[in-house]
Amino acid sequence: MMELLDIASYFLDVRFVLLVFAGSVAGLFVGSIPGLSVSMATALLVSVTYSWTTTDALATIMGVYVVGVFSGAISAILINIPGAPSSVVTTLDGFPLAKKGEAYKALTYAIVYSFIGTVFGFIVLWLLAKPISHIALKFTPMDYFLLALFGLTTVGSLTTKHFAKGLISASLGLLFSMIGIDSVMGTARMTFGISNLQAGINIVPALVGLFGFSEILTVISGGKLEGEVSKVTKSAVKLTLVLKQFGNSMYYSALGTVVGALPGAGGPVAAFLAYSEAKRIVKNPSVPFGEGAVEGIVASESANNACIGGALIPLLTLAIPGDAVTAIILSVFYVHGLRPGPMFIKASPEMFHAILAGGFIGSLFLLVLGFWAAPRISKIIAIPKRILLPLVATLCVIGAFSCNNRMFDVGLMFFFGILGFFMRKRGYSVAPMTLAIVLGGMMDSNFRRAISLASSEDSFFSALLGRPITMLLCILVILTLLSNSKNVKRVLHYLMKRRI
Amino acid sequence: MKKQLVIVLVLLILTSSLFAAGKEEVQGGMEYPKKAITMIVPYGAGGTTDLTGRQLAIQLEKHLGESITVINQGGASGSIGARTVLNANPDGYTVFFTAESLGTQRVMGLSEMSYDDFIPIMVTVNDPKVIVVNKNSKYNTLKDLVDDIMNRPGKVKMSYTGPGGSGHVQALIYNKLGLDMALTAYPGGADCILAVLGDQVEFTNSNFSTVTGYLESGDLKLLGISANDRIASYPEVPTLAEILPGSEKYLGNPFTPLSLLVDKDVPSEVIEILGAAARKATKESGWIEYVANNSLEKLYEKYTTENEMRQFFSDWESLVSWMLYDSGAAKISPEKFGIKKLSY
Amino acid sequence: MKKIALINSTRVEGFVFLILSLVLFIYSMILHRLSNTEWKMSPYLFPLVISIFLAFLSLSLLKEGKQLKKEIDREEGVGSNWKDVIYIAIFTLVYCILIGVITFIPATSLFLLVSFWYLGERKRYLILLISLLFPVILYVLFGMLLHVMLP
Repeated sequence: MMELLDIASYFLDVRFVLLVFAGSVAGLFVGSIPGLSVSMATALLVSVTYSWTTTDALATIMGVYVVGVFSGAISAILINIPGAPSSVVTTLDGFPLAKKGEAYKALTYAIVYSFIGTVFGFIVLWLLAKPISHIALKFTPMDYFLLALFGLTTVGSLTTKHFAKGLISASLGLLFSMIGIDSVMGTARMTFGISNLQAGINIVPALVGLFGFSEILTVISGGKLEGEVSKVTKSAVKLTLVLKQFGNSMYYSALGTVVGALPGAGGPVAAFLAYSEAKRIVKNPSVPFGEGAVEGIVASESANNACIGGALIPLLTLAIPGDAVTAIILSVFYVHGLRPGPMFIKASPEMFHAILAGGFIGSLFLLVLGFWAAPRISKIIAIPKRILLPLVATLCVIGAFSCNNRMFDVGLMFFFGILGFFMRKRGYSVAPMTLAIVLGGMMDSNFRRAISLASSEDSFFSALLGRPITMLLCILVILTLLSNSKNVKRVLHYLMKRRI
Repeated sequence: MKKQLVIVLVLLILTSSLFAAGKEEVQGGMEYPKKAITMIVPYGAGGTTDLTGRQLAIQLEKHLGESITVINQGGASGSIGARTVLNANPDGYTVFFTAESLGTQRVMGLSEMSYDDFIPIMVTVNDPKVIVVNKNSKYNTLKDLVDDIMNRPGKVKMSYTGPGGSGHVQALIYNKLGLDMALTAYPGGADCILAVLGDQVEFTNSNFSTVTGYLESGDLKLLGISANDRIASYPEVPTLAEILPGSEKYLGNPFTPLSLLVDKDVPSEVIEILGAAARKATKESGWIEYVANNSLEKLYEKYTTENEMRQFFSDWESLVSWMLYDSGAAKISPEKFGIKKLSY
Repeated sequence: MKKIALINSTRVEGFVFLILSLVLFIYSMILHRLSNTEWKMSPYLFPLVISIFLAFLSLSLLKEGKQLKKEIDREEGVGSNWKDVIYIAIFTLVYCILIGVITFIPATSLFLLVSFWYLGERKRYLILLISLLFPVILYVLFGMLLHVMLP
């Protein structure tokens, strides 16, 4: 009860609320521009806020974090360019909906369910931080590897009609992620003597190229640029209709929070898993998935926003950041002399409450700013393509450049843009490749770690796969692979017939 | 439409003033620093290098009048971060705070870099190495652990931070003493602890400051100190030297000397300013408290001039490089780089 | 989505990926030998695994292509606008190179001017206004607010 009062007291603190608001506005802006990432904004904030009090700094950062993760969906829906990897899934249904002129509807769903996801994540953080952190500890390197692999295999089956092509896209992405200095042995790998490649392929130019630049080329190749303007039907969306998805969204949010709590997996994996679950449990979507089903937006947005609360759990209880943004938040704590760890929530409850309050207030601003901005921003697609496309191209270039301040990344962006264009033309979805580039490094090092751990045991395989979580994940991966293979389908079909 | 545009612009300006707020210039007549400084820490966030680097950054900011952004660039035993520093413009706006692995990169064949590529600003502290296990572990004393390793060579698992790192050097010392463990590399000190907490490995050799929180909460058991002296805050915990006779001569060295370095091409005026600021920083109460709380060894009182620091690095490099080479862990002979063999 | 029937091209892709996986396999094997480490620590273990995986996938693609042969051969409506795609791609490439030569604002203005015109916008004042104003706004936002070191 005291806790609740303590958190509520922040809602009355005008300064605190204003700072969250300022952060939220910044988050809206940064998150929705492809190439500008939330982690970049928070990194910048850290250097700005070092002289502030800890609560002030946390208020601003929570605002940026909560709204920034949501607003990646805005550009994903409107121009098919996700603002961050975790919004990749939102493009699958959001963009088709926008193309039909129902951008406002798509945004409404994204706003409402991002809000619900965020609140869910923070409630879990508040009440269940300890038990969830214990679950996170149970995950061994092999489990992380399998979880990522599971994410990739579901992606392969989700995004393209050809399962093999989805997986090929993922394997090529993994291959790209191998480039650079190997994180375990420290030797350069697959850099072919190009020193710029040593740092590896940054996700930002890859994302901006694969989605942004290739989208421009795809639109142009489709022709019909002359005066073509997408219609915007601004029909009010009934809230009762929107809230019908509430039950399912709880499930996606729970999934998102748990995945978020596993360091290294984070938003993209959560969104993909939630989407594949949505496809499984929603039998009759409004329109088929991939053609503008709001159920898909609900899954992706509730899961990736629920990740925020989840990612804060290992940060606060184990001092292990779950993603790039929490890594920076960790440094905020250190800068202000706080030590997250097993004693943190008990030792400094006021900071814990400030984080929770910042999260809750931030999610309210998400709602307010989202509904304020959505009708205005959705007019973007009314801009003629011949004006919009060059502007987006410029944003792609500057976005790729700004992640590391080097022209090499712009070149990479261009390469991935061309590659993405041909992939789309040939029916290879670019989403699995993006996810694979995000996850590749972590998969590689965890895989080798798992092998290394198991190789000292007497029985190699039982050590590698013996734990319950590992077995479960292993079965899931195999099932996904098998259920999508044509031969297995044929055999199953045959068996079914025989039985009848 | 126009009205909305105005609102958007006002909001943008508001946000911009937010970003600009912290940028007020506070400086005297000196040229350096004129803008924010980047500190590269070549390990993950939350490890001892990171914590100490950030603590030093806070104190340094007070004397430099500019903010210091700490960036973690982990992986490959610290070589990725070191490479970034050397690639950056040598103007003093990129400083490097690292642990010892820089001294072993060449013999390990990880990179061509060494302490010679940098100019030391300050050798700050040494973080004592300790041996910890999970709270549910079957080992209750250091002797239990040592005996089990002796009985099952190559089977008891230990997490460490990668080839050439301080954990690896420790493991090599244990090897010399007849202990043979199964090593698995993790990206940083905090991850090594997580591996112990998650029962992936039996024990780890960690820096003391990394584990203090877990010792308080009871999630980890402190079995021993990997040094010649016990730690003031845990006087009842024995040192490895007490259990394993013959280890004193190895364990007397500071195995995690954390130091602040810059590219060797940085102008000498900048180095002087940084050095002076660093010396003042160590007088700050926040720093003194931090050092005391974590039982850190104050190397900055031992090695004050640049020559002393260089001597310290070269002695350290020689000792560890030859140890790695003689044990077969390092593939390249230290002789190739002109590292002389001192008796150890 | 229209059904994309890809007879020969699917098989061609299958072949390309098969060759890629073979090259990767050999590359990993050779470099693993050179790197002189055990497999469990080798940086080339994972690329090797990927190459095997990719080989299976390309085989399945080949098989798919074979089955598709009996179906109707239909090319996707790609070719319609190759010219525009190539031009815009070249514009962008030139733009990227120009940024390094004549700095950000002039290069962007030039790029926008040319692409607007090429894509068929004919209102001159609009073209001029956007292509002059937009780069400046971007420069202020990124260069000053976000500390991006634009050339």
